[in-house]
Amino acid sequence: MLDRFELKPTEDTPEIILDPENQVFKISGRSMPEDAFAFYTPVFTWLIEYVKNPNEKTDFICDLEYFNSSSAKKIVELFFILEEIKDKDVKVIWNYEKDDRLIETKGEELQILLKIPVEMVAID
Amino acid sequence: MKTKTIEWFFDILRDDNQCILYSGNFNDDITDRVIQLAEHNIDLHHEKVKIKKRVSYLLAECFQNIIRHGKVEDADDQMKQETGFFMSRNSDSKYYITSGNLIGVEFVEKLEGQLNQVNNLNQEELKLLYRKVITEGEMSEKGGAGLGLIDMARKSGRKLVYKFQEFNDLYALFYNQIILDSEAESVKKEQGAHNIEFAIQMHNKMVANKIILMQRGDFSRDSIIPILNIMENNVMSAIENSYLMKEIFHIMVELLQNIGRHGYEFESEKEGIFALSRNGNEYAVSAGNYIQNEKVDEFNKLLLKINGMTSDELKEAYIELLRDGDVTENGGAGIGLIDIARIATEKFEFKFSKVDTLKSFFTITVKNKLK
Repeated sequence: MLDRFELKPTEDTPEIILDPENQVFKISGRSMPEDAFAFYTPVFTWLIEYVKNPNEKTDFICDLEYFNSSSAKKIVELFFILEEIKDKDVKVIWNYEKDDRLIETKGEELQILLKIPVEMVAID
Repeated sequence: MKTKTIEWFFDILRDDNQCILYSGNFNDDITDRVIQLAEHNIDLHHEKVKIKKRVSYLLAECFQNIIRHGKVEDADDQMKQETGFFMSRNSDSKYYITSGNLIGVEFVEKLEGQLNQVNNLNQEELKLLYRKVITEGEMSEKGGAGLGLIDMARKSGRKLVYKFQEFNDLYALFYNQIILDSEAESVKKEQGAHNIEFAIQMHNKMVANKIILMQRGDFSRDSIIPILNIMENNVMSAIENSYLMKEIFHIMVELLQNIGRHGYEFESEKEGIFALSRNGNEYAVSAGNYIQNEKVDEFNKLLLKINGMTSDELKEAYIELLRDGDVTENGGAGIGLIDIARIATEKFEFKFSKVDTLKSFFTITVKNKLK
């Protein structure tokens, strides 16, 4: 099994925990690095390895309070990688604060874009 | 805010190393953060610790002075909104800290007397007076104002510059300017654009154009995040609705990062100007920066295209870019602009003005209000 991957949050990058052993796949906080490409590259590297030998079930939790447009692009690309295991039990859980139209809309767009389920969860 | 206003400010502020202007109500939160923003700018210019300490001290003293002399508990918010002013500029190794605020007319005479007293003393006399006030009590019954003024004059090593203006029967406007040299040998005279009259003119222009905050500085990568944090936690907390605030924050992020990516680089800085203004319930984020002439045509076309799109077309274009667009090369300016066009309540206002054979000055304003 692939080793746990973790990035601590900073003022402009999110916390990311990818831990197959404990069934935790989560990105949270805010993502607004100017160079989103550089930031997300190691995450891609990890996920590409993961999909070669994935868990039976992968619930990827997105708990993002804010992200800029270049992060949006990278986040979508992350989920494109997960599409490769769409035959398994894989889904994105998109948390957004009730009334937060900006984040809610981004989740709805993911539903249009992705071939894996995106579950929208409004948090009070 | 109009494009020509942002150009007007940029023309004036173009040779500054850094500049921040605030126009609006003063409260502790705002003052703390505006000071923080000004200090952050000093950090960027690697000033000596000693200078930084003095500037910070003078900034804080300046604000405390505003609060002490204010005595404007009864003035209405609108009035305070239009009279609170703060500006910190750094150019030619000098720091100019200017503030403006309402004071009750009954305090004008006394304050003017104190200012004259302080200005008539040399450094040695100021030191003696300072000690005297410390040991024997205030030179005025108005809590410590005297001490603050003496200290401001001591720390800046210059006469205090001030100006009173009529406001109405109850209140007057008090403007105060402190100048600090970061190099003792600096002998350059203050240029017209730095004197207090000109600061007042800038304040009036901000009020007329409903500008809350304006900053001119370096918008390359490392500089943007602290600016955004401070804006978000403070200046923007005045926005009543947290989701509107988030949308405006998003517009700021995209516009500032746009400068970072596409701005014309000079001496490893991407200089630009950025402003937040409010007209009724509508907010406007404006940004201005230089761009290379050869980029103008393509960029102009992109903006015209975005302005010509309906909301459905924008959504479609956005999703297409997420699906296929390769944004690694230029960091995704297109996607960012399309994204903010989708939340903006008006079409983009933008303009390119050719500066010389290499660069043009680009300004853009994006408006938003609660939908």
